[in-house]
Amino acid sequence: MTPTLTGRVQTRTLVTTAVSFPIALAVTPFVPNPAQEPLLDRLETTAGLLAVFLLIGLCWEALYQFLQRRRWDEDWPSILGLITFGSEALALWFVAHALDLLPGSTDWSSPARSPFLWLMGTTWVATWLVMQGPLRVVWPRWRLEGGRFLGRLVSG
Amino acid sequence: MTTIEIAPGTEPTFVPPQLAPRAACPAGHAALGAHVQDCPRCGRFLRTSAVVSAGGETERRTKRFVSIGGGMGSFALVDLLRISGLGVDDIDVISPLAHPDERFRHLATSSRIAGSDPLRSDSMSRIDNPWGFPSYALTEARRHRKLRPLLQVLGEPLVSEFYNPPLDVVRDGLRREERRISWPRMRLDAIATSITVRPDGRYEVRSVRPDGRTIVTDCDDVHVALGYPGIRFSDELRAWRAAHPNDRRFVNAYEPHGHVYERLEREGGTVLVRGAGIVASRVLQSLVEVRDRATEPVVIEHATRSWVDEDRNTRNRRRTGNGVRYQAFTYPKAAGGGSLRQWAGDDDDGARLKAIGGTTTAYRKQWNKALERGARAGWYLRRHAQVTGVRASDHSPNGALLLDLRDLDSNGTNGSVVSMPVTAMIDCTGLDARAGQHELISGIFLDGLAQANGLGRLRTDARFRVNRSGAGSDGTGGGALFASGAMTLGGPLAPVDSYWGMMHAAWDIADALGEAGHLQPLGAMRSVRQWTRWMRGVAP
Repeated sequence: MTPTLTGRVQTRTLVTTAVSFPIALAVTPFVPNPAQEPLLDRLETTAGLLAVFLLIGLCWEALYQFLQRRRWDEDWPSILGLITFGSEALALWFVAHALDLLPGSTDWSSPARSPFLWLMGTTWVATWLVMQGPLRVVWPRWRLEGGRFLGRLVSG
Repeated sequence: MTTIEIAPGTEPTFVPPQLAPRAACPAGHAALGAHVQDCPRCGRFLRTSAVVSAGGETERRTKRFVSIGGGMGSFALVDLLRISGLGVDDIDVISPLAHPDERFRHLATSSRIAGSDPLRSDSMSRIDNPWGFPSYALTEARRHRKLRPLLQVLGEPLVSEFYNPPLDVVRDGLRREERRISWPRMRLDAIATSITVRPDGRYEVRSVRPDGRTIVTDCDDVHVALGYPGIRFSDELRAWRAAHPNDRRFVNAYEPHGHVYERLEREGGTVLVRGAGIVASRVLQSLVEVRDRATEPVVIEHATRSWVDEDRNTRNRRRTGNGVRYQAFTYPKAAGGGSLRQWAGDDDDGARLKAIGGTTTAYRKQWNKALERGARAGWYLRRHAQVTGVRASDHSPNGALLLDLRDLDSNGTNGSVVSMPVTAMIDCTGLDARAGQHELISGIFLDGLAQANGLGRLRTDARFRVNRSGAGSDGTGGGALFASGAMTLGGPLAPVDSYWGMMHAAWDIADALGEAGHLQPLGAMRSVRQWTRWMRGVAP
């Protein structure tokens, strides 16, 4: 699937809300919990993380589209959708701390690191897998229209 | 293995006897070939003689939808229409082809693609599954219980070459889907001869059966996907065949030409290959394999009229080497559904399409390594040259062909002419893309049912409509004539002549039928339900 900017924005918004968010909530009870926080607090943190993830994600998409336009065939291979987890997770780690969503310091040894990586990692991979196939079944036109759920690439 | 006699005056024996009788090309050359073959005199697709002499009884039938062609373009669409709710009895597929890939497979195997060889297509562009999931790579991985296809598709094109489905994987998927949607029951073994609009806004399609009977099908909507009208014979090949009708020392790569390889392997010799596309690459691979096996020396000359040192394309600069352009698919990936699709689709005269098109071949390490090896050892010679004449050195079929070869400079001119004796010559000059060569299309052009686009093919709108019938006086009708596949190049979608393009066109046409109220659009819930039926192999 080769996205356009509109397609990227629509995909990021809809997929984060309808796919990543439920997955993240479902995963939350199973991630490591060294601080022994109650489940409700942890779910709240997850929801906050995902909201921030979506907002930063829209900026990422603009950058990705800029880079994609510079690739010779203007395509975005699906493996890039996996490896960009590194940069996105790192940015989210810092922003979430700045917003006090995550406790402690941004240091690599922070006890929040492991739960954060487990949560975001599993959510990311599961979302990526959904986008590699099942999403096309639910919304067949998505891959034809450059990642749009609404509207068309070429009118008429 | 069938062998071929190339002595003058004898018929070539590569035509199996059961396929031999009564065929002619539209130009009137009588031929031996079957309907999936092409005229050995001019390259045009053969038809049975019944069409030439139609005049038997007429049978009338009424359907909702008719698809003409019965190849991959028809299949992609009819599959989706069946999934969207049309029944077996609602559809006529007018086609001389027993299977949707019969013609495609004939051209592929003739041009040396074996069953296990990769095609120039990607993993998610499935001709037998409108969702593209599970992809060809996933299906192949499951069937052969190996991870390689999945790892390849995961790493493409950054750490691995693009995954391409093998010919046999495509065929097996098609056979399964043909059974599932009851394709044989929808197929009408006939050749369509005309399309007309009736006063009530419905369409009427006339076709002729092999026994000469005429069938008239009246229907709401019609779809035309005829593919290429034949093989593109170069002027030299045409002249050669007119002078030596049975001599197969000079062939087009899309003609069955196994005898060339057999003879080279047996006796050695020099072969000249013309062309810079992917068929030339595949033919060269076969020749290298033959050379490696042969006991006598084999020399491979490769000549092209064009020589690309640097791609000057303003939008997409493709990798070049050895005088050719490299590109994994016929168009850059984004032309199928990304920014390039939008960019090219906004242009009406096809200039942008031309800018991202052109002759290219895929960069495959295996191919390039073999040719480098040959260039170093001196048995592969790459030339920027034009063949200006082909002569027989003497009347012996085992004698050499004498080629007049003009070396070209970077401007494509000048150069001295040398005479070169070769054992055989293989033209990889592609397929005939002139839509008007199809009698049916030429007829609808004449009747004003269709217009030609900037490339001389069928002009379509964004939903692949060629014509709208308009409603009849009673308010019914209001159907459309659609087209997809190779004959629609020049419109809003660049890779129309690909699995992706045919599948894309199928979705667009289904949408148009939905808007006209002729089909219930496939919503998310129904799509999921239908997909589970696909997975279980249950009829839609």
